[in-house]
Amino acid sequence: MGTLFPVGKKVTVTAKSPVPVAGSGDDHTGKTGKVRGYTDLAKEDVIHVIDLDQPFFVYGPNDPRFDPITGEKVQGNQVDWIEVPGSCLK
Amino acid sequence: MPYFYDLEFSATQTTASTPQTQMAGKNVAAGSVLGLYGVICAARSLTAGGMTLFTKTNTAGGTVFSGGTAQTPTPKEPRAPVAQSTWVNGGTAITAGTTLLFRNAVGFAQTGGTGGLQPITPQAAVQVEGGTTPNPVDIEFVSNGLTTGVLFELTLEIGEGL
Repeated sequence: MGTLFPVGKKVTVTAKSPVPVAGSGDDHTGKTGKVRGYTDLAKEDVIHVIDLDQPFFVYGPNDPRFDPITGEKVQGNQVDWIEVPGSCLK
Repeated sequence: MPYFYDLEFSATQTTASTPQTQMAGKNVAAGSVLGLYGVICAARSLTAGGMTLFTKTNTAGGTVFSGGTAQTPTPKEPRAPVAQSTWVNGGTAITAGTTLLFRNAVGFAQTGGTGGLQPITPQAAVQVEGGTTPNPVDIEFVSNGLTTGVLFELTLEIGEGL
């Protein structure tokens, strides 16, 4: 089995996941958080669920990016957690 | 009693007559049993036609879905703990699992007639257990429709623990 960080452990993302994982499809290198659990223990490189210290925001395919009345930028949807393989954490 | 949560996603059927994974969820290794307590679909298109939303479960032995934009279930009870199960929406492409079993299909109208389902009792809900060797390994929601570019709202209601 690959690297397995215990639940509650504070971790930092060190690289973009080489496999598709939940999150936003972006590179999350440098983000920090705590291990909430694991979603696929059967894999050699165990996928960890990381609750982020600082959530970030993304837009859905139908979400407006600007308020139609004020023209101000809309915040988007909050992403609180991401999946990261153990090999991309320290 | 379970803790109940909801998830809402503004989805798009981007291509006519093509199955498209819109949302998916899976349990964490030590999670409570996850139940699907509601599916609600509501479209808004000027073009009349039919749409369907399939609920599928992924039988153990297959590859679990991957990708997607992380979405956190919102608890019905504001003091409820954070949901243990992890969910994604199709804001980022979801790669479907490989051993999918059709569990049910909901029909709804492209011009706005809502469709949905609710199990008659908690035990009648489609369920996904936690643990290291769950079966099924995930639950996925796949839309299909007769017209390209139909916007629809997809709401899931889930519970954790029976």
